[in-house]
Amino acid sequence: MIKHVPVLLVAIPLVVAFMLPIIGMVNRTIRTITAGVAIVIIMVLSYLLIQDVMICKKIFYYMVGSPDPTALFEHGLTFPIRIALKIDQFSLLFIIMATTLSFLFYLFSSQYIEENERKNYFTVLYVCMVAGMMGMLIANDLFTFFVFLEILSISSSALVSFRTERKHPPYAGYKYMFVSSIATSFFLLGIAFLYAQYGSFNIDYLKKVMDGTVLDKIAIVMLILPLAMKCGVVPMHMWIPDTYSEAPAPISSMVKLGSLICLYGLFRIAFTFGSHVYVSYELGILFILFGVLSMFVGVTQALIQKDVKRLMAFHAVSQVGYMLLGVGVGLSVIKSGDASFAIYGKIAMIGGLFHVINNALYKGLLFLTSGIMVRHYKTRDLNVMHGLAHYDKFTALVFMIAALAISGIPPLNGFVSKLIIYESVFHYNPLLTLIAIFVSVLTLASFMKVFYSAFLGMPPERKPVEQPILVKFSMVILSIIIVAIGLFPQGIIKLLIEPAVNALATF
Amino acid sequence: MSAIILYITFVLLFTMGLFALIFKRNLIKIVIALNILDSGMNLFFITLGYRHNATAPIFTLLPWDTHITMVLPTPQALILTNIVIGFATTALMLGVAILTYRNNKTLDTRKLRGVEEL
Amino acid sequence: MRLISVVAIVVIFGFIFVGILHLHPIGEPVGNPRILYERPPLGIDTQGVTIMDDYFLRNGQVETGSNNIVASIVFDYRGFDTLGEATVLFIVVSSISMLFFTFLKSKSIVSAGVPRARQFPRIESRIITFGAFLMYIMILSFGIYLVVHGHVSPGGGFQGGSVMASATALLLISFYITRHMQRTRKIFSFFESLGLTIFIGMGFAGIGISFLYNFLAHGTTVFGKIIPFGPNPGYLISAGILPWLSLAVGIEVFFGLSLILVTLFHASGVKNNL
Repeated sequence: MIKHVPVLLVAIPLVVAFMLPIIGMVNRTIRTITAGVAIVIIMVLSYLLIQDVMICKKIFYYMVGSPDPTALFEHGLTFPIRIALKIDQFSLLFIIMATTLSFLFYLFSSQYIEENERKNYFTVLYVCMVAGMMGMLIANDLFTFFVFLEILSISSSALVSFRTERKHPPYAGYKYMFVSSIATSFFLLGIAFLYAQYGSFNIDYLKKVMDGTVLDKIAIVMLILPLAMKCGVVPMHMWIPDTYSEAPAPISSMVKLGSLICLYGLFRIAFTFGSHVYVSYELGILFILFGVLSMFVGVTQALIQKDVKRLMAFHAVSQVGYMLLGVGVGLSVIKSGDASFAIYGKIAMIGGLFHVINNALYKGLLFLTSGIMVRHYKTRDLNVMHGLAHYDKFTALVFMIAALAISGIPPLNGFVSKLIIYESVFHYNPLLTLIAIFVSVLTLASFMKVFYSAFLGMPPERKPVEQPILVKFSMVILSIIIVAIGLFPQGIIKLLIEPAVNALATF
Repeated sequence: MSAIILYITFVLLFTMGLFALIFKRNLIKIVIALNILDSGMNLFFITLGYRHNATAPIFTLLPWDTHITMVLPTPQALILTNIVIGFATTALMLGVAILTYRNNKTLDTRKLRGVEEL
Repeated sequence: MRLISVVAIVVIFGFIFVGILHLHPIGEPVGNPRILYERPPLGIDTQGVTIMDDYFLRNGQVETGSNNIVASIVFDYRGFDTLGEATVLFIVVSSISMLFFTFLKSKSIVSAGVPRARQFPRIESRIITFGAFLMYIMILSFGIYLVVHGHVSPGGGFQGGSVMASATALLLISFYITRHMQRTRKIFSFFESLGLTIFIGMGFAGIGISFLYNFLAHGTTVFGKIIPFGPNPGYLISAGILPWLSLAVGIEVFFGLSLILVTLFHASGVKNNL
């Protein structure tokens, strides 16, 4: 049965999502529990794979619909004819992150979003979003990747405009959909260029037959730029603040998670095709450039914001920069021929990928706390807020943990990954490290501003309502993970990150 | 050689769609531009699968001779997917545009919030 | 800002232009068109096949039993994509229902309680309503034909479903009925979920071998007629799970698109901003 796990990761959320409208007509509690159970099942399945994939270094292939699903080629052919799914160490790292976090955000949303008939559709779209992420992570086929990218973006944009009775959310959803349809059009063009030359969509097969023609290079650009657009790196980040700030709090976290999944696609395509088309050095430089721009522009824009969610959204832009910086340094030296990859390139990649996980954790937690703040103050304006810590010590503590983690203060997880990035990038170019440290200091300053205005000061006029149990529970779990990773980073790096980097860097 | 007109049409459609996407300020016109872009993509995919003197890949009641060829079938299957996705995008964007108009009483992106504060 | 956009578009234009110059000439794609007719009537034959399209053309009919190679790709070889595609449609239907939720609760000028003759005096015509009813039946049967014959002739679930949904649109604009809004929406929603559940259920039914495996083809009594390579008049009882998947998609597309139409039609009649 374990050989079917790759397809079950997508099929179980989908089958539950298809039946949820019927279940929702019958009973709403059962509906909430069913959706939660589906996410728990795929979470458990992804944990079951750790032993096989991460420790025994086994790679799972699955040809959907084939008489023998684990055989790559049928009838003695040299190319795959069906859709291939693949789980290797790199994708399993992201699968574990996505399932765990979407389960925690689901717990939060199940009591945070008010209960009415509209919540049926909310749950349906949420589960579809999880299925879209899983599909992108397991796809070894460019067109399947494209289809699940569309599933992810359409369901996210509908959820972004969830609060239609307010003035701005529909336009935010429109903007997100607009950006992602442009991105996916170009992505499809890249796929078409590759198909015209080699007659296949399979990533592994394309990697084998690619020989670096001009068309290959154009196709790589067409595949990379849309995904960078969906991650919100700086020249293409205009949709980020609106989308993140208008969405409900758990959806902001989920959209952030989705953009990290797009980052997965970016890394996967850059590393798989880059060296075969002889552009890995140029791509590495491009990533570093994007990274530095994102870090700097994101944090400087965040400093001047008065709106708490917009501020956090700009920090999300700036955090993506760190990951691109770390992985870009690794990518640019991977083919250099000397020992620089072994000395610092690999460590930079470990830092970059570790930062992806850490960032998903604390950024999600920050968006969740912002939801509680906004619900209490009925506004997102920081100038109006004051003194929540007088009554709600819990939220203050959780926000403190997340804010210190994002600013890179020991002993929290953000410090570890940032330190790895600083140290390894210093070998490459000391100036980049200086910029990164400077950005980190600015991040701390801006979050101190938020903490001061939202939690300190005069007590608020009215007492906050007590948060429901699941809301608190999900936030506590997230804080515990953040502190635990910060205290014992060695274990998770050895278990999850290092195999992932090895899988990414071999070709 | 006259078949090159297919590629020319694709490039024209794609560039037209892109121009309209960037320079049109009306939410409905942007959706139309996206549809033009999508049509261009579909045309391109179909063109990639074209073979000279070939029939459609369907065997029912096919006049059979020994030199028959067929066009590539995969692009046709893929644009079926792409058409449905394009339809879905259009429906959702139009729905959201209706709501935007009801909430803001305008469809002009310059008057809607958030454009200047890039 | 305008200048940057123009420059960006010109750069993209240049990229596409250079890309097209390097493509294969039109009409001569990769692969080998000569190999199609040199094969035995039964069995899998991969002699000289270099790309997957030639494999499909050469073996698709024998392997899946479907005369329509495009249908065999859509539902068998790349069935997982089609599952994703059906999910996209499902997501859009759910999104439209969610976004227009507040509209559905309030009274529309096209719904019951308001005499139709006063609202739309021109529309009350016996010719229009009767003609629309006749057309409704004809369009619906054409759609059903397309769905059922998806594996032998051009057509299939998506095409037939959209044709059937256009009948719903005709019915809406000629009759202006959204009288039983809530009940209609529930029924449509139920059948839409049912169609998708059939689709993914067929996928799970083959999981003894693999997900979406065509377990009904190759000689079973249900839709398992073995078809030799070559032209034939078309047999309905072939192609294994393909007709079932096509039917499931047809149900889903018809009810899903109808749900979108009904919802937007109702919402267009709600006057106040909510």
